[in-house]
Amino acid sequence: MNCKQAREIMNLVFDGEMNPLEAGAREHCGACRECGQWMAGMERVTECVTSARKQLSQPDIATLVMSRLPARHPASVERRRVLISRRALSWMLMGWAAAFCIMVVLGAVAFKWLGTPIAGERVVQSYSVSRTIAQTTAAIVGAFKPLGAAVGSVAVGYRSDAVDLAIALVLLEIMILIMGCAVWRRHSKISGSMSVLV
Amino acid sequence: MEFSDAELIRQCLHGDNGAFDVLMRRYQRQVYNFCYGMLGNADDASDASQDAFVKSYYALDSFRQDAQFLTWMYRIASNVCIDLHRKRKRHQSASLDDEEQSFRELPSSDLTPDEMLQSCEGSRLVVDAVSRLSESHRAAVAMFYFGGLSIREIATATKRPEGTVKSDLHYAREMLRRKLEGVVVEV
Repeated sequence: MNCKQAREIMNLVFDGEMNPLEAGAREHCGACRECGQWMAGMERVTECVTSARKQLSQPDIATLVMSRLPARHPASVERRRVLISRRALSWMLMGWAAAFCIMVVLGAVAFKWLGTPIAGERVVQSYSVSRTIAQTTAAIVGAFKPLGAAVGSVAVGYRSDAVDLAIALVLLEIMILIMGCAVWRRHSKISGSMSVLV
Repeated sequence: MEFSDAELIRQCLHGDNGAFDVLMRRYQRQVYNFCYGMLGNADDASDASQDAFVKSYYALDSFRQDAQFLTWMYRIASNVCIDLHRKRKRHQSASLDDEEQSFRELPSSDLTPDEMLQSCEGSRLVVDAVSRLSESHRAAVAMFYFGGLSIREIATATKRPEGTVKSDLHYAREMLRRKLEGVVVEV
């Protein structure tokens, strides 16, 4: 084994590798003056670095870092906001579905019992199509606002100008719906920012 | 009950910062030692390790669970240290052209190698010498000697081939040996 080979093997040993030729390399370094000095120098490097590491005082990094962090991880805040939004949306959808079912039933009842001629006023045949449209519209609107639909259904049953009333109610309901969505979005944002503070 | 790194990360991402505190306490010593090896200064090492942990906290949701947290942490800390080192270097009035030049300008010790070993001077000298190595050599030495990583782990953390890491480490070790022996490196 020559000097170059011995040093290469010893370098691998210093890297933490097991080497079957280590004994031979050590033997060479023991016999060769230059390689012996080289190895002593390498061992000194390891000892000095190890000694430097052991002398290090260990500051409490964790405590210092914790004071720089927000109360919650941003990802958890975002996830929470999404959860709140989803929950609110599901409740809203369930409410709409329930209101729709109820109003369809109420609409049918109104059509059956209140849509008949009252106090001598007869509903003409050509008008019944408009009335049906109005009632259907009222029932759909009812999915968004039960009270409006109830008013619409009852009105369609009693009055000949129920179509105008139903259209007016539709416009009103759309406005309420838009306002409701805006309020809901605002609420979701507030919930999200509130949870950052929690 | 001791939670795994992955579990602590999951808890943190669900809003429990205490889990991140546990994670930091688990690795703060290694990360701080590594930063010290990279920067050669206790104050800078403290700042760098804090910054590294803060960065890792905000990037926690991008951490891939198939990697080791510590290896990932070393990568972040390494980048933080390199940035800090560059900033510090920029502020230094004396410009050092290259690694060898910087080694020539190291404060020399009057002690013999044996005496240096007996005192803290040898340690101080070697830390100074490490901090003047090039970025890749410094990272290899800091991870291996100060951070306690194996060659394979260093290769993973630095995304470099194992052979390159070994080569860096051998070169750096040789430079340190020469410095400790009082040999000025001639190019």
